[in-house]
Amino acid sequence: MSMTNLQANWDAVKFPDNVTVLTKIQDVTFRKGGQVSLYAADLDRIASVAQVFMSAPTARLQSGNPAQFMGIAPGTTGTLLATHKDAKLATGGDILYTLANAIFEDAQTNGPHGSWGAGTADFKAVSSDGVTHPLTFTRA
Amino acid sequence: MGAAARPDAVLIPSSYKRGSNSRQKIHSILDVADEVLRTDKAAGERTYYRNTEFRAADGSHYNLATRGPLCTMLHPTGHPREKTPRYRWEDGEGGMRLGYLLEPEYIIGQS
Repeated sequence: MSMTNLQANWDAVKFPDNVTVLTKIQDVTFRKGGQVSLYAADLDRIASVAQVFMSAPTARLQSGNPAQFMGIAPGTTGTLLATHKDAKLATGGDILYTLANAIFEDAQTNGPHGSWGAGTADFKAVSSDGVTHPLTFTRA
Repeated sequence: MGAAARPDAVLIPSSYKRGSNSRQKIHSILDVADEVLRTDKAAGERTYYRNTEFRAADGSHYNLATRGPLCTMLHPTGHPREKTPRYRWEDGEGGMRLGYLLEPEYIIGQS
């Protein structure tokens, strides 16, 4: 089957190690966190130079199983892994995201009457050496 | 590339990216990285890459590809030689830079 170049649904979402699987995952968001700094001087009326001096990578998970998030202490650090499946389950079409040094920051849970309960987990990440981005991509 | 020792890391200019969407671009970098790093998929190895802020001679950003997701450009914080280079870099083909670990026994994220 040819690859569609489309992804759908998440699998094997794990934190803080390669063993602990988070379940009922409905949405995963990774942000590289680039922060553009603009420079202007002299007669500039519009910034004439832009540079990313710092990046602040983040991730967010949403799940129908909020209790698992509420059970994680803020500050827990580990590796966050998530596999974005190929839309047609083609071999070699999955993308595996690995966020190293992910720090569990916050959890929210909510459950309106008559609706599914839901939870949100927020992560920040740091670099081991200060220059290598903690978010990597590979084929799953 | 011949029979020379296989690199532990490669810096690939973003100009190597092909395709119109992010997935095609990810695959195009991984295709190059797999070949250069000679990643042994049959043995379960994978190539991981991440963006960097370092720029190649053509002005595009380098992407750092390694055989482990936790590999770093420099020795990590807490290492006796933290923030010093982990690799010896050599020029490769097409603007790529080939990295060889200075301490082969110290490979982060490879199991």
